Amino acid sequence: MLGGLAVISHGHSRPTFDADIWLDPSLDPCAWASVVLALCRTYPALQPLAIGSWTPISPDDLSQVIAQDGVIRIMGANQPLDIFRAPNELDMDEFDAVWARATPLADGTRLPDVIDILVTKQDTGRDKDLQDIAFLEAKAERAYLGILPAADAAQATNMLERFLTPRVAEAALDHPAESVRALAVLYLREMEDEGNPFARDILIKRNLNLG
Amino acid sequence: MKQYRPDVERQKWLYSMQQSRAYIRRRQGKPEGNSRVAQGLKPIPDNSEPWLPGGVQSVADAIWISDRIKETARQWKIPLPQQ
Repeated sequence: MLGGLAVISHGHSRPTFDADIWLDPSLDPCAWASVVLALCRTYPALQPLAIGSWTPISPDDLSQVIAQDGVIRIMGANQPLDIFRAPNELDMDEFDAVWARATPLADGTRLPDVIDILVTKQDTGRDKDLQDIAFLEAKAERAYLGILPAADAAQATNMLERFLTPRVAEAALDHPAESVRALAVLYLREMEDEGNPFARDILIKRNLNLG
Repeated sequence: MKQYRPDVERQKWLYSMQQSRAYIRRRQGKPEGNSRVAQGLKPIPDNSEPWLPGGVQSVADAIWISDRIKETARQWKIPLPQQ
């Protein structure tokens, strides 16, 4: 599950007008299309449309359209269904890792974790995504600040490699493992180099040399 | 592994908004923290409840929540966001 429904599932109260699903992209475009076509044969009211032009896609063209666009829209259900092969900012070869991190749901779908959903919300230029990002970043940061101090060195390093804010890096400065503390300093200096004033303030406050 | 970092310009903007709110509060003579707490009253507790006990268990659950939000917004004549 992606998009608005995933954000709602993570606890943000906002409406959505379509359902976004990531269908396993390891299938080649022809095999991927055959799954969607089978669905459309089972439910004849369903009609695949090309994103943007919103024109119907013939069964023969579906694999070509999905290879090119990475997403198709299905109309004819009680709301539009966007089926992705290549979601925004997630590489197709990341599907298995995202799937493994996701929470299994009762209907066989999975809810990707907060950080994977955050990644899909980047650089879309849409206001609603900025609101989703504010919610998801705050949720991820809260979780990190709770888990990171007690995580072992390997887990803390993995966490920092996936999600980083100045506050998270500051929390990592107090981690018992020296390697985690060193990584936190490295990341704070990197962020300071990128012009992040919050990272700079933390480095100064902690008497650490700037990057 | 790709690392997610919040956009620094947005962080600066949020910080600037927070500082602006604090500035207005100071100009209005309001306390720095929560006004109720400063007056010795109890802070308003988090009284929100989850839409579904146990959280979302399926795509249908998430659609149900979205539909309830739309229904409530229409009932209260609150404009729904543009899609």
